[in-house]
Amino acid sequence: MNPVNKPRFIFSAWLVSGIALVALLAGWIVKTGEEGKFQAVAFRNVTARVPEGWKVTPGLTSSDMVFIARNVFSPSNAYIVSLVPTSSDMLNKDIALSNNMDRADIYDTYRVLDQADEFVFGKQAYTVHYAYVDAKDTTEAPRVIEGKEYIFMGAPNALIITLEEESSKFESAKERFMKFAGTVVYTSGGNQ
Amino acid sequence: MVETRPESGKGIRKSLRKSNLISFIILIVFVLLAFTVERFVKPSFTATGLLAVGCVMALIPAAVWLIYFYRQDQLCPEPKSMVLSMAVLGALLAGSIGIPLVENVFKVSDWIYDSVLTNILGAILVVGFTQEYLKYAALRFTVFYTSEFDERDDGIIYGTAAGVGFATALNISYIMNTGGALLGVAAVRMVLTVLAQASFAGICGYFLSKEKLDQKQAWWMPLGLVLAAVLNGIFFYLYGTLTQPRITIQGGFINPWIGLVLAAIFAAVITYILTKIIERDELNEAARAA
Repeated sequence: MNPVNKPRFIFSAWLVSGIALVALLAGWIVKTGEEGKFQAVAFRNVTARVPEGWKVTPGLTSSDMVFIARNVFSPSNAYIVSLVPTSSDMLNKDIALSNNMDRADIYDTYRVLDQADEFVFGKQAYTVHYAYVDAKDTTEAPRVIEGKEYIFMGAPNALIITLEEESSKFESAKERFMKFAGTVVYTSGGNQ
Repeated sequence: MVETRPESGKGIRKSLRKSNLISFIILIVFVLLAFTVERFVKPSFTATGLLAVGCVMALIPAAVWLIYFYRQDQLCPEPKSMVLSMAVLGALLAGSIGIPLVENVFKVSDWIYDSVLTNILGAILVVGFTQEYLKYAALRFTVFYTSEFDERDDGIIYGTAAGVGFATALNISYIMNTGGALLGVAAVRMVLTVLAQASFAGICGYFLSKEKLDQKQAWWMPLGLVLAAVLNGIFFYLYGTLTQPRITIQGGFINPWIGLVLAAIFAAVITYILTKIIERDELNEAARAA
């Protein structure tokens, strides 16, 4: 009889497979628990819940940016919240155009991949999907960064929530970003 | 194929020392060459060129480590075709299941670095168990059934082969994701990845061959898997966390050296232990044959 056919070996193989499965289930529980952990932040009438452990930097009061949150271990992954003053004749497309021109000034390689009206969390938003090559850091190879910004019109400010991440990880970063975006509340201009 | 069989343990050790030294020299030259190219040539790659460079860079340390471990089994070498098949199977399992499961299903890079505890738990439970189970499966459901799997160090040889293949797929994926940047660091990482993956799989393989040949209890093999997964997780933690990017105003940059050195020491110690186990088993076999 071939010894590998013995029930003992088969039982052992099942046991090993079961332990691996239990480990992966435990890993999934850790993942789920970790993704649910947030730190509350509040700057300039904007509150939000940023993933725990991320570095949150407030923007200058003179700038549109309210804060930027970065994943410490994957710094290309950033969430940016901005407030842009609006006027009655201003359209969301005007803000998008202005932001696009600002980024194009900084990055020669800046490209708008897509822009459109979308409904996000039941509210109308204008979205801009863009990309550029980040070559500022001379200790690293240039990286293609993708971004998507959601512009929610309001008065006196439009709320802009932006995701940036390396192109190769951009799609997988969206899910967690949307959880964050759902926690952003701007008290003077509605909430998203 | 003509195979030489050293007459004594002394002959085995002398022959091994020479081949091991050659392996280390080749790897050092490989790393130095990569640093030289990066420093003086500063290459930029097209997508196809990058894939080609990635494959070549991934295959060199894989071949050297495969030969290194294969050479340890001097008394009764395993069929080369089977050893190579295990390496190919390891690479296929990594590319088809291991990498997609860790990166796309568990998306570890999104959450694993949130805290030290999470990092260690995630590294062991997700990365360690996924990788080690796949390498175990590569052996358990193929070569384990064959008559070639008949010595205590066979598990280590086949295991390290599966680990080398697994690491090769990881390395190709790494160089594709980094766009071929920092060739010198990439070369060091590749050498280490192959060494570590082969070592952990070797541990699993050792437990597997003891299970088959020494009639071990049912808990024996699960213990081997847990041990390999924990070591793999610790290596991943050292390798990943201590090579973490530092935050700057623009974003971040990587200081890989602390983590790489610690990971290298860790992997080298495990490889040394494995090598000693093989050497001891070889000497016992030689003594029995005499």
